[in-house]
Amino acid sequence: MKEDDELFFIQGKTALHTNGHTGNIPWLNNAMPTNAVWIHPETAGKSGIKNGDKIELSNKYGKQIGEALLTEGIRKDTVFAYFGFGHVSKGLKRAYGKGVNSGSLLPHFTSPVVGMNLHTSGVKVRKA
Amino acid sequence: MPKKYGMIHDDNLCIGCQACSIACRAENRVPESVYRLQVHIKGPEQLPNGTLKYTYHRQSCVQCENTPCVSVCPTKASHKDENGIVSVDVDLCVGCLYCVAACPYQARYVDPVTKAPGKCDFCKETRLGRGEEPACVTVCPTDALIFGDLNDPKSALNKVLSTKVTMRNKESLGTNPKLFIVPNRRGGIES
Repeated sequence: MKEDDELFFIQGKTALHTNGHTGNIPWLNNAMPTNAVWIHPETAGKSGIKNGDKIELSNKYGKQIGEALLTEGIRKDTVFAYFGFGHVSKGLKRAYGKGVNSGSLLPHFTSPVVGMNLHTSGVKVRKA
Repeated sequence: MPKKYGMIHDDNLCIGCQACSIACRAENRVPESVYRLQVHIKGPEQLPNGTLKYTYHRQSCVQCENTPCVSVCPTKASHKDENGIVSVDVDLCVGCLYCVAACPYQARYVDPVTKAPGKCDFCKETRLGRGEEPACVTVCPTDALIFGDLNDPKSALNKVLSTKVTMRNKESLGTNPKLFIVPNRRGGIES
């Protein structure tokens, strides 16, 4: 799932928005317009990434540019970003293009029995 | 006996979803760009036992009993009613903003339309009169807010105050606030 030079990429849902549906709603968009990429300060230091830097997450499924949030609330071998951002519909004027589209970095296969798709992948992280 | 309205915010149950903030805005028609209520998420910080925790701070008026904002008001626009709720009479206000500066909890904002200070009033003008609890309390998805009458020994509020450890912010200033916080002292994913 993950190469040696990659970090685990995990996601989650923010309590403020409802999945991707509410991204364009004015009051909610004002409170949380975008998502940042959580990265441990030690891991970030190794790549010369400081808090707020533009970073690029990439793997064979996709490439996303996001803002780094240095926090001890994430494992050193993992990065995290909320779902529901990085909207690609230009009509969502308040939400379009803001943040990381977490789904685009996930594998495309589904599990044989239940049909669930995998929500973890490996990503290369570098300063953008 | 008059009521003495108070509120509990449980930092262990709060998830920082801002539903309270949005409900307050909708119910009380709070103007854009200002907030009566926000939940500030601070952290993570490390506790002595090595775990990490976030603090969910309810940033809003704490309805002091010993109110600095009322004592500094030159016109009595900032006043406390018989139930202990502090609010602003816009018609008496002259816009000196002394109350905004005097509040130790930074709970007041300047209304861009009326230019008078505004603040949380426990939904006094909207829901309390209809016999309903404040919007934030009703909408909270984790029941992290409890509202009630401190003078009523049988109220749900007093029951929780007598069973859980609570604290209040800036108690040493002597403001005697009526917002109680159940602090999160445990940390880790089990909290």
